[in-house]
Amino acid sequence: MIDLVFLAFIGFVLMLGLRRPFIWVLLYVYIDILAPQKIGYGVIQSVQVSLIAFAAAFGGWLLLDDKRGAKFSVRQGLILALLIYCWWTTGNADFVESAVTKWEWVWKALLFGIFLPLTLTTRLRLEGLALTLLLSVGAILISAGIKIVLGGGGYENKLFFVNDNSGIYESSTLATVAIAMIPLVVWFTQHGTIFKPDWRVKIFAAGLIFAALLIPVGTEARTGLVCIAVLGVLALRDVKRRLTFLAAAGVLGMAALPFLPQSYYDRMATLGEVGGDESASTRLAVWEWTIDYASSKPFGGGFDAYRGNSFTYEMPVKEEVGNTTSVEYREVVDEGRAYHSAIFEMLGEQGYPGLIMWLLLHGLGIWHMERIRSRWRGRTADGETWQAPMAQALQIASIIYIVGALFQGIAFQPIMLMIVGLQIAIYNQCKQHESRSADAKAPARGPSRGRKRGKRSSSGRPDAVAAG
Amino acid sequence: MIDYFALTLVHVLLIIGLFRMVQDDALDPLVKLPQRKASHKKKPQVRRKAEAVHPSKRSDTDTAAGDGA
Repeated sequence: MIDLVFLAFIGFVLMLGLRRPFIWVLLYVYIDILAPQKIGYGVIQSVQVSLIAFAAAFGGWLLLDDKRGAKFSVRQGLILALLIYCWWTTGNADFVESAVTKWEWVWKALLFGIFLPLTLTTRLRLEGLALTLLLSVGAILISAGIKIVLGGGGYENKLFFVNDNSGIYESSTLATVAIAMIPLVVWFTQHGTIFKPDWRVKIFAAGLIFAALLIPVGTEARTGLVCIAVLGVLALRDVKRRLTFLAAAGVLGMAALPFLPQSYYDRMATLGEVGGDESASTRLAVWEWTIDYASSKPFGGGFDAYRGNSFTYEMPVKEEVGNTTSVEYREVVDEGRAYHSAIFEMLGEQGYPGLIMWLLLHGLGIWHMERIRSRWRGRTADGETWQAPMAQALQIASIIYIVGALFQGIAFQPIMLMIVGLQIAIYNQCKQHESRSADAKAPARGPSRGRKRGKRSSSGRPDAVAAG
Repeated sequence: MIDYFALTLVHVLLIIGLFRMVQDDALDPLVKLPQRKASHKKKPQVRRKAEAVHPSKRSDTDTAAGDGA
């Protein structure tokens, strides 16, 4: 039954796309995030819905869509370079078979990351993509949030539609994405146009934020707690009354403490003692191994190169007898352990060139969003008030993702590549807007000076259009 | 049951949102042309108007003064 509902929805959206082909891009985003083909258990599993949506999105843009405003940016070039580099490392991988398995989904995510900004040429398209992204993640958050409130949850408990620990359905990844999405949800309560920001939108947004904050609690993902702390610190930057904000956050945190299960306290306590937990000890050992590995193979070992690791480390084991607690160090032998960090994932798999490209891709995004924020903040003209808050929301999303990615191997997480796509698109749109404004102002400075005659002013400085 | 509730809620919102987007012409690019030509024409017009008004006002005053005299 659920399969038929999903198929009917996909069919409906495919029909809508006949009028506006951009809708097919949103359909692909929905399928890529929510994975209805995994939620269903019948006929939908035999239909290649993801492939159909991708073909429709790409074909629709290529053949039917209006391409005015589409621009290939530096960051898209970086993703393309990373895609080509990953293809090369896959061919020279240490473990070709498993490298090819990962390559099969990575190339699609990277290609979509390149393609997406080309389609996001208007404000409504940006908003439409952000809305589809939020609602698709929101379905998972709402369901998991209600289960947590009703007493479910716990580390590695089954909370989601799909419990295969892959993609966004991995608890730490979902916790990171959930917290990263919060600023975008807030943006919709102030600047949304598809759903006007009335009381219904605000109540839904409050519920969604609450559900997002519950995910790190319910899944007991320690990364999620770190991400909440980062969000709190970043929010301080623009809060009008900082002391009130800090006090309210403290009171809320204290009020929530009695409702948290003991298992949550126990797990969070391991944050402060990295040597006392196998997961943390393993990470440190894998990271040391990766640095050594990259020294011998600076161009990377291809996807899943971690399968070749093997190391021993000492882990303290506490034993309590009566009132006495003794700590015994036991030697643990481990092999084939995953990186548990996007930085080391990139370093081990794609070497230093891949790591530099990845860092540059996200670093540039944070810098570009900061530029929009500083240049568009304080504008009050009609149609110029939404850019700075959205850029800020996307910047915070990026920072939270990078902090979360320090402890998880999520370097190629498709949702974050979609956030990158949004960043590229809003940056392009703002640049084009500024360029048009400069064009309109140009005659006022002197009718004899035009762009065709050169982009330099009489003083010899670059024109505002060129400086963009 | 909870899963069905969440999925239904989100899909209803998606359908409403997508339907609104499809009906909105702002979804497709509407690149505004550079407004140089318009503003280029406007400026001289304003100047000519100012020039035309000012002498006529002066002649009115002159005439009235002449009448009064």
